[in-house]
Amino acid sequence: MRGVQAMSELDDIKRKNTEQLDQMSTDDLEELLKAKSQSSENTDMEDVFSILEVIEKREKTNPSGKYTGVDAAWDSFQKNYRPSSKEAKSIYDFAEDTKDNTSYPSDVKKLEDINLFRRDRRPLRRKALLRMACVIASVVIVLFSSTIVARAFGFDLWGAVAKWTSDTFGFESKDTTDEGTVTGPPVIKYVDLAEALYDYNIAAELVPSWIPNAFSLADLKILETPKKIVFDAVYNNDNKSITIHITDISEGTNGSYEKDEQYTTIYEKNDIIHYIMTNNEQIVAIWMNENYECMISGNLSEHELKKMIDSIYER
Amino acid sequence: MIRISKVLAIILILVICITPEAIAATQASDYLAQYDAYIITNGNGNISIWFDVTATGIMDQVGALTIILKEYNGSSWNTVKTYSHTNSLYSHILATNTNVHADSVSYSGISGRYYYATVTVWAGVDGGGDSRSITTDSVVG
Repeated sequence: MRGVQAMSELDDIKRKNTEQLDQMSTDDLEELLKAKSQSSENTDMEDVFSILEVIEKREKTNPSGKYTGVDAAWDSFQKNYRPSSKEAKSIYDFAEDTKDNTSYPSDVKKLEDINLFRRDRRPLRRKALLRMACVIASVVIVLFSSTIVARAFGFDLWGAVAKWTSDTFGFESKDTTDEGTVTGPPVIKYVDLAEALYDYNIAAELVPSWIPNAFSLADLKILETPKKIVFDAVYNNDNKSITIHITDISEGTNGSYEKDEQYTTIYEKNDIIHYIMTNNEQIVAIWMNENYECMISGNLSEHELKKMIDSIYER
Repeated sequence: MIRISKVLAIILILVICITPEAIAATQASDYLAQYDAYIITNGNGNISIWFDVTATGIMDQVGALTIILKEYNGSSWNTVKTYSHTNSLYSHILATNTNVHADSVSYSGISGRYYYATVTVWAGVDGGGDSRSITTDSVVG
């Protein structure tokens, strides 16, 4: 009550000159300081210093003995107030202290009154912690979801790291060694399919010696993978194509071929069964010879296709 | 008699569903001619997924769009890695201006665990194209 009165007096002081402080007793000035320090409103430091100046002036002229010098005050702080560095506790943490019968300095015992307010503060602290936990959980969920979505689209979110140099800024994907890619098989180019097979010591009759006149070789590639070697030649004639595809499947893996609903017919030549089918606009022949899976596919008539097959064995 | 027919029909459906690879060619495409994918183990949990795709002619794009790698952890299959041609690291799985492409990706997995992959192959030209999904056999890493 006395403090509240002092606060109102402090407000009045702002409007009056500092001489009025001299008219107040030292006890009233101390109460005024305490009230000011506990006030939730912004403290006007000029008022505080004015009060302190008056008290200091009185102590110099007429020492009361209450203010015992800097060294004594520091010793008192170290002994009674300094939180234990080992326990890392706040000087205002009385949760454990109130359970025992440890004696405290008189000033600390006065502060036990603050525990009355602590009961109200605890739920607030829990709420604050709960709120913080919710925020952290939300951030984690957002990051986790983003990662999943990014991964679903094939983007390694965490693999993307910022690259920031003196004159550029950008994002660069980090290539991790544990998930490193293997570069594709060496692509070996030839100008003649028969020559390529010869170089690979393939003696089997696999390559047609005849193709329709208007077609010319557009590309020829040999692709070596661990379980198969692919020989692929494509011939073009305007918008029409013929593909000769020979696969060494010695290690045992078969491909799938596209076909439509039309019937598959059998064309036997040189004791080898050739399966003839259609894949929309293209006619396809598939057969096996030794360890080689072969395909001719193109914009051809059935007659032209059979003529190509016949040419394989006419040497 | 009707009950026996129903049972046979169910068995037939199950057989067709369980053995998709038994049907080597079931669809038609103006873009795709042939494709294949397989997975191999290199020891110590290291595996490689290989594929090859042949188009009906020279196309703008031939190869794989995505490769999804699954791992069996003892109770369920989980995706452990998705390789996409849109990721600059794996853009090589989709080739341009060719009629054939073969390529691979590798993964350092856990030794003793099972892995398989689903490869979505693609061939496209002039804004059109076709894709197919191929599921490899499973291997022990």
